[in-house]
Amino acid sequence: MNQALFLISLQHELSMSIGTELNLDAMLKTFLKVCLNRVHLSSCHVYLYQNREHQPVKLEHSINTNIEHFISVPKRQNGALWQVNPQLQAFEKLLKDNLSATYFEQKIEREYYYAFMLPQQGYLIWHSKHALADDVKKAIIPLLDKLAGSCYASIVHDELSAAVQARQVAEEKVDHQASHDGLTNLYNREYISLLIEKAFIHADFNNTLSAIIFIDLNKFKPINDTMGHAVGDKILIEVANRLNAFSKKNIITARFGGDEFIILINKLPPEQATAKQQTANFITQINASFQHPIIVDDTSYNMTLSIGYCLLPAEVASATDAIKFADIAMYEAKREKIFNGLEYQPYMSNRLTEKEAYIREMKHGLANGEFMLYYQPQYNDNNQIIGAEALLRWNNPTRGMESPQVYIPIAEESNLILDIGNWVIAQACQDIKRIEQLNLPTSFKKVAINVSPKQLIQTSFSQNILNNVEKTGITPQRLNLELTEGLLIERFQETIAIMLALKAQGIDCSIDDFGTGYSSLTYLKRIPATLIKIDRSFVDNIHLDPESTAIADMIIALGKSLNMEVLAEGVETIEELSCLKALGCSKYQGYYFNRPMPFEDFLQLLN
Amino acid sequence: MTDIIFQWHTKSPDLKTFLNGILAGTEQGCKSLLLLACSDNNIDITACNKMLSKVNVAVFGGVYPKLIFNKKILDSGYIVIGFKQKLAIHNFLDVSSRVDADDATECEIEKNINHKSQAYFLFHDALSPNSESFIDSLFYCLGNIKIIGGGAGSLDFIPRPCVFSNQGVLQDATQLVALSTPLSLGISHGWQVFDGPYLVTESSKHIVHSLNYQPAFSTYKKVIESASEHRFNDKNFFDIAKNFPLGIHGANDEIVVRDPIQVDGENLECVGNIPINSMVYILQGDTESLIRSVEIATLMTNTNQVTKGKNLFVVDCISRYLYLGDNFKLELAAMIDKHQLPDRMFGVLSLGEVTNSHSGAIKLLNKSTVLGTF
Repeated sequence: MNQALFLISLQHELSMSIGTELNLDAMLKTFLKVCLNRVHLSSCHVYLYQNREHQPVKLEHSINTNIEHFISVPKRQNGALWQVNPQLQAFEKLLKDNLSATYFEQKIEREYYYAFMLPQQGYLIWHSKHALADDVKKAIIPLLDKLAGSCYASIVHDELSAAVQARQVAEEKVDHQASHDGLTNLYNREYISLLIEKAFIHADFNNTLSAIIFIDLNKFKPINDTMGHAVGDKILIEVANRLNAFSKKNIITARFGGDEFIILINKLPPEQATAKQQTANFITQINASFQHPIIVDDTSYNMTLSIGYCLLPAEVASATDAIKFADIAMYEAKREKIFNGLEYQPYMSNRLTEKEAYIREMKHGLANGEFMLYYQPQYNDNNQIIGAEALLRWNNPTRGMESPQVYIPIAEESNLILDIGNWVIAQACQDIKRIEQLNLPTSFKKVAINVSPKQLIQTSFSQNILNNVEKTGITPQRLNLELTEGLLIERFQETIAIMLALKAQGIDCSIDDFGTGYSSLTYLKRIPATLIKIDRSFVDNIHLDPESTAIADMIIALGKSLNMEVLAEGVETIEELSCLKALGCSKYQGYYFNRPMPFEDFLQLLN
Repeated sequence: MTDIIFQWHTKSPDLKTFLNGILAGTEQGCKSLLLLACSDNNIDITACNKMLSKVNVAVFGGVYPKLIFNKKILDSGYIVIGFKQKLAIHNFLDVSSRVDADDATECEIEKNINHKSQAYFLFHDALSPNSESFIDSLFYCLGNIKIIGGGAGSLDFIPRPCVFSNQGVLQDATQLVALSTPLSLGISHGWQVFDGPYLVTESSKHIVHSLNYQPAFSTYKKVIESASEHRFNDKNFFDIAKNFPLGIHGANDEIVVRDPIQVDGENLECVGNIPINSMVYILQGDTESLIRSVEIATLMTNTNQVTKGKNLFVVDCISRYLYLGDNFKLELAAMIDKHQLPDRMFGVLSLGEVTNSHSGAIKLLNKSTVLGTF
């Protein structure tokens, strides 16, 4: 009677413990713990049919299955995991040899092992130090189908959970990608714009201030161009990490695009002076974090930042304005070479407006023939004219002659330089045509025109030149293109290809402003130029400055060794000329000889 | 090896005296100190925390209703046992907030306990509701380690800090101390079937709500009052219940004793869980059966002895002491007489005992005697 009650209570308790958890591992662990406690076992194990990926499967659903250890309670015996226990391994071997048996038992080293088949799923193993009574062993048998069914339900549940989890991970990834920059993992432009909009509303409502800090890396483009995008990307990642180190609950960092970053600081004090001071202090900290160079592939890069900022909602009417104004302030900081950050001021927008008006004026001038080419002759040792450099001039009807130092950079920024450049090429070719019609001295060789970086990257650049040469019918050898050393370095491969293509058509190139761009000898050897122009900064008072003398000497020697001619620009005095001659220079250009002159005057000079 | 190089005890409840004992131990060059205290010392926890934080050797142990030092029972006072080696101690905190089979608990055990150690002391707050679940997790992670320990606390069953550590006196904590020496264990209880069996038809953890579908306390009361002279009133539950524990029947006729300590309406509150659908008996004991059981435990310790142990650590249930009264000296004698004489004997009268059952599983026991020699 008592034993019968015991068996019923045992069965009942074991039965109730099946399927209390959904996860297979947890479900079996709960069941095995009850087995241990109620049957006073020493350990319990479950072996399950598993596929090649060691995932439990139902036998009838899969062909490539092995019966493998799945769980032991407890996990260890004598400090080692049960699945490597020699006794259990010996029993496992027996199990694998008797896979059709619904039940079998074995005494191993005075301890008892009992295997009960879980139909289609595997085996339940009981381990006891004492032989179990037959009725206790029989008590488990009616529960095996239920346990096997619960195993299958848990397997299906686990598979579904894994699928749901995978979908969740995928959705989170999509969400993440929508709001984050793929390279730096910072927030992206869209998301920071959204956050700035929220900050605008929040700050307005809570009477606090926020700051938008716009950051642009200085001289990143040349690095990206010369060292490749892989290096550029690593630098951007490190910059992002350094900026992101400042992130807190109220400080959000984002990559706005390219080498531009935005930091949004929320919850600044409502007093503008205090908020500005805190922002300025923050910018000081940012700059301090860039005092150490960024090391990429054993090369160190000293990166500096141009930083502009504005406060919202105090200084702006909308979130869009906030980004724009911070960007304008950053641009001003870059232009003025201010590294410790610049706060947006309305004059900056005014300056921008003025600049836009100026660009419109330039466009108008170009259309109305206000631009013209002046020519500055170039001489040899024998004081013979060997060529000229065509120089752009703008005769503004209201302001008179404008300085190229003013309008060229603005034209470069606005892309108007492309229209102007095309005009220069066309006009120069027409002028050369007229020059060729003169009875030219044999010493006269070429007319040089300056090429801007933006022109050069146009895919139609070479063809445009050749079209003009063909259209005007000039001798291609009369035309020379001056490329700055900096331009050559920035886009080395593309520039060399263009130079070689033009050279094949008889059009030479020269290297302008040489000595300012730090080009290496290795690069220089590969440039198919025929002339190096010593920058005017080294010519100025060369006779008084040993350092300039040494540089000019080096450039002249370099030209000789590379079989390139050397021309000194900006020669203004006889002393400078004498010094250059003494160094072995044989070609010159400068006020000492002639100032740049209108084309008609130049024609007269040639005559 | 785990070598004891210092032993000290006092009957004084004074904390300063306790400190003197600790300092004496450290001066002897002990690297670890087992600290045992009587709950009747009414320790000033703040002062004790301050004191323990300044002790520069590893400390462990607990506060118990009574202590055993050689053949004596200490109703008040302290015991300090000094070890030559620094023993690895880990304190598991906030045990009551851990859910059953808590993965975090198992991770903490896996991370902090060296699986190669094969013997442990365990000291736990007997009034942490989750102690038994924690012990289950311990067995699940570590398997057939040898372990001896007991529930700390006081007989008023009011939760208080009761586990000694270098961080102070801990409440709601379980402490595991790894020994670097083999441990031989003997366990027994000696309680016999008085009535039953009963099916536990409703229970939750350590509280039994119904037996055979009848209210638990009414059933329990009816059986005892009909077969004995005991009569329950509002105040004498524990005085009677200490004579009639419950016993969970397992396979191979093994019985795990559960001590009913309080009644709340129809609910019987025990020390240790009683699973729903398990089969329980109401047990009774007599002096002779209890003493004989200790003799068996002593014999078992000697039989199991891996090496010749010189030290005997006793964890004996306080309710056996309360039940046996003056005869408890016979129980103490039974621990020693048939044992190969130990160099030293120390121990606790506890609220629940922890050790390996015959199957090897780590169990929370009640009304049992656990002897460990090392």
